[in-house]
Amino acid sequence: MYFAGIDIGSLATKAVVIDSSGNITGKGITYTGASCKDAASASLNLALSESGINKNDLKFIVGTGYGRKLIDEANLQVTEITCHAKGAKYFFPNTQTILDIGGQDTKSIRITPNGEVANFAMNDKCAAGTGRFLEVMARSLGVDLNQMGELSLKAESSTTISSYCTVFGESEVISHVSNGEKVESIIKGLHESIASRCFSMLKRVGIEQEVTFTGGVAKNSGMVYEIEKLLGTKMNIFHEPQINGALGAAIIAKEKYLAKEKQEIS
Amino acid sequence: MSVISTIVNKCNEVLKNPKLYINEWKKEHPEGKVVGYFPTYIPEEVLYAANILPVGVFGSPISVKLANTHVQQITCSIVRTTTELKLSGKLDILDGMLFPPTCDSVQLIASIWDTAFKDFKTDMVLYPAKLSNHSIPYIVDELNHFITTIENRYDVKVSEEKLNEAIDIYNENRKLIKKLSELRAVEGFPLNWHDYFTILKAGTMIDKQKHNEMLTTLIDEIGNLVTPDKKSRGIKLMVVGVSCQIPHENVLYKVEKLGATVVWDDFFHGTSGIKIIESNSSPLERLAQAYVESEPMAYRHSNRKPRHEYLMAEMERVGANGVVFMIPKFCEPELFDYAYLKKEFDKNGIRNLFTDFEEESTVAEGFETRLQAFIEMIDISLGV
Repeated sequence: MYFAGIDIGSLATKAVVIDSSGNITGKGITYTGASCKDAASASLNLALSESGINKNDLKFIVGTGYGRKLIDEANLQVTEITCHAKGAKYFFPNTQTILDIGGQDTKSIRITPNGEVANFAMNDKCAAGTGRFLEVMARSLGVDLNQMGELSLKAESSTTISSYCTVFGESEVISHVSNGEKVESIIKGLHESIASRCFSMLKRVGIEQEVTFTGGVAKNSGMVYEIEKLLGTKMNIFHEPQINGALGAAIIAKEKYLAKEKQEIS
Repeated sequence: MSVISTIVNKCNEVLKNPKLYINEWKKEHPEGKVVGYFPTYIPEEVLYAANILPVGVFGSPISVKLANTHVQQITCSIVRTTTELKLSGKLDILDGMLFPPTCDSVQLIASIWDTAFKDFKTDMVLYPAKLSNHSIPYIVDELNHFITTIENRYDVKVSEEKLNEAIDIYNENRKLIKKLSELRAVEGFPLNWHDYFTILKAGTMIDKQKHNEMLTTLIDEIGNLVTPDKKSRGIKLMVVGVSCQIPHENVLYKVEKLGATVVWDDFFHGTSGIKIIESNSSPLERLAQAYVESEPMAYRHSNRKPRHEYLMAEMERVGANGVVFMIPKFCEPELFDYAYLKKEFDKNGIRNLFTDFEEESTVAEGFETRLQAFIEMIDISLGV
């Protein structure tokens, strides 16, 4: 028996397939682009192909992420808050606090020792402190998004970035560039600015050990460094932090299917 | 069409086309005046006794263009959109407008209107924010002043006999609304949140006696459908923080589409918590005492009971599983209360969620995700 989770984020769509023992058998990551439906199908096909199975082999599919309502294949849609809690608990069973920085939103989630969501906070309409903010800043600075972390760690000093707003932040970065500030220092300043915002969001839900960092931005080593500095502790990071939500969705798919089966038998 | 649908439709018509209703009322009351009022509380009974139709003006989900030159963008959207309504001529049917002392923004807008719209009658009625028995003589004095203002401004008379009649009609309305609101948490209650709210909001425009007739019929009909001793099933939510402004109608629909039932809210239009005083005191003393003994709200605190105790008692009564704060952006009274209420709710193990909204916005994805996640959170932990 196989189960799948599909997470449609603003930048990337992720799919994960698990077997009845809960092992990840395949995953797929695609750009979301203009069609959530196409992105869902494409990422699921990649995960199915890696698992060596067909769509018909899937017993239950859960959709999550901001495009969750547009996934034709899904039997159920669940929010990314609940899915991230499931996913993080799978990778790191002692997780009690989760920070997820996605393309268009940032979330802090506190979970109980038995994995239930106890509290959460997320940013609203503004892109400040999200993956999109870093993407826009990388473009303004003319550096590859994937190099941001490395460059930030090389900085000898940091440039203060006072604006959280993506639009004003970009103007501020441009003015620092024109003042001859070093790119590394500006990037470090950007990371510090986002880290302090994330730290406030984590404090809103209450920080309990262990803390797990998920979402694409968790791949950025400079970002990880600045958040850990504020937390005063190391965070758990899976080597593919992007698939955490989709994995959580796949686990929920498995649980829902088995619960339904049990109910039908009894 | 069922009796209930007919009443909901009638109320919807009034809200969609208030001018039509007001013109009908004017035909029936050729000498009558029509005066708008801004939330939260003004002593409508005084107006009613003077043959004036009080009409609640609660902003509108319109985009603000003209009002930005009068009101800062960091004020709540109800203040900005109501000013937009005035500037675009949508309130010309009113003979005047009254403002209560709800918050700084409302008091400031009253002054701005007074200056900007010289030919339009704008008045304020002042109440203390912190209430005790010492407030009663002050409120009586203020009500006397208010009556004089109304009589001079609108060339009307407020007799003691008419005022007593008006108080009785308004008290009857409060009793009926309380009865209706208590049925919300009972199994078989047929109205969704939007329709329930429609009936209450229409009551801020419809002549109170007519509204009482509607409510009586409605409650009788609902009485045949509910199982009074059984609480409704599923996830039950309490909505707090909307004492003045209300979310867009799509938001009202959305909450229940996500699988929860709203069994209590502190909308000004419904559970405004004004006490019903049955006594032989003078009408002004009754009005003053009713206000002083009212339930605490963000803009009205009392020495008798802190707001969290009132909310927690209501929560227990209706059997709610969680509290959703829906606070208008830039609403200082509610935002100041939020920090204290959240602390009390957390301390007492009450699940709560913060959301905010603006009059102009419909349903943002972030709002929906937060609400759905909150419902999932309750669902998983309770196995509802």
